[in-house]
Amino acid sequence: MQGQFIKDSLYVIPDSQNKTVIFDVDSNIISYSELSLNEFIKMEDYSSILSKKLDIVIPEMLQRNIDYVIVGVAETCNLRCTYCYAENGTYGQNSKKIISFQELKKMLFDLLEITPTGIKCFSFFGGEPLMGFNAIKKFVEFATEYLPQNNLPVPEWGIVTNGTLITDEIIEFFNKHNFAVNVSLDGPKEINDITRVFADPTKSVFDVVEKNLSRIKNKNFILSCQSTLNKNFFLMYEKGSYADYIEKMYSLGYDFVAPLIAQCPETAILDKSLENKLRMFYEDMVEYDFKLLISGENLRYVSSYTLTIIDRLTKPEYHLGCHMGCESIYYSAQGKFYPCHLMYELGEPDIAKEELISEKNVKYIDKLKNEDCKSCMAKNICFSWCPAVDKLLNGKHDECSCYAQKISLEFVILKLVHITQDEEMFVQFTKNYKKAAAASAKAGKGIINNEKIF
Amino acid sequence: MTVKQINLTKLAGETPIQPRWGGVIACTCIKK
Repeated sequence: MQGQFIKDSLYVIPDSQNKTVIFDVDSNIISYSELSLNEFIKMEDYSSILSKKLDIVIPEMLQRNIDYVIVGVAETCNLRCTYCYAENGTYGQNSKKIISFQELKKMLFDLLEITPTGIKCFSFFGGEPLMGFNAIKKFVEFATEYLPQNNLPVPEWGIVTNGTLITDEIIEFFNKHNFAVNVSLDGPKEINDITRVFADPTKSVFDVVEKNLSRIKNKNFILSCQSTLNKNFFLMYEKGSYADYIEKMYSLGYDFVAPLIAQCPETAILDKSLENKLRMFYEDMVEYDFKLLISGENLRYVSSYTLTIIDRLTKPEYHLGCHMGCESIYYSAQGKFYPCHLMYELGEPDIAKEELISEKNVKYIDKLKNEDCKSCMAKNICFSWCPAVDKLLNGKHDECSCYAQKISLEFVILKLVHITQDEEMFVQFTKNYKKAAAASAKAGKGIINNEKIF
Repeated sequence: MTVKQINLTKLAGETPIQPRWGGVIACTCIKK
């Protein structure tokens, strides 16, 4: 890291002009000093910086609804990805279960008993959910008719698919019901096909997905990609190549691409070579995003990673970990509720229907129960900590994710300070950031649908 | 000591942004 703590919650970072940026990690307040870091540290009186603390609110604690239900449609998959957390999509169940329409209906009625105002979003997940397309189709059509007849809103629909089974019929279905469709790819062909593979390794997953995406014309749904960045990706990464990577991904037809670090045992330990590559990648990403936010060009290419950091820096809020067990819940193909799909895979007990909306479930996601999170410079901003990964790693965090979160936060803070020094540039930046942030917030909820976002 | 506080309030939006897009939750990759 470039910065260090000097006193209590004050974290200082030297900028490129040998001046000092001060970040109060408790209140998210950023300050700037003309002094160099060494001169600044020698000063003993920091009282002028330790400004009045803001009241930190915890949005997740106020939330007592289930927004998302992640539905484990199929406990089977037609791919054999090398890093699969779910044992080729089976979750270790060996039944290769595909959920039926009747079972999906039962899930809906169970949920309506505890959330009488309805569910905001169902996201179909797997394994490969399109292996259960017939059940999904019948269920969506049923719910679209049944819920309004009972004065309940039609939910938003989402799906996370590997994209290899997409047909014209499926595209038409996504269009009709305004799906938020996530087609996973890990990067360009040379990267993707190392890890995402068919049982028959002579066929290229990238080629099949590319061909399927090219069939999508006049679409009426959001097509996004959570591009999983694994150790191979980072070790092959060359300084300055972020733009090439992200623009290649967008050229496949995606509306949004979210590069996300893979959290797995191979990234659990941060060694020096990986650290250098991560620093390069995240510096390039933040640099690229800020360039777009200043110029206003290709605003949808700005990563949600950078936008989320800026968003959280502008608000006096402390965020818990992910939303598992609170805002979102997982429903397995076996017919039970769990905090999330990973906790299901890791053998966490299921949650009884009556317990779904319970403050007890916050236990899964409060990262400040971890000693090292309490003293982390990214503690208010962090969206990388994953309780399921901690469980997998016997209480340790995924070091690469933690590093990526902290280093990118440092880069964003330095960039923001730099931009605010130029009034005209800051006005331009603010205008463009607001546009990008509004679109990203809508996309995150899967509610862009037909709206023109830029 | 001259320390200038950076004002980012103009950037604050009403809707929280998610680090993940598309109304779906990302899959973390775990291999046992």
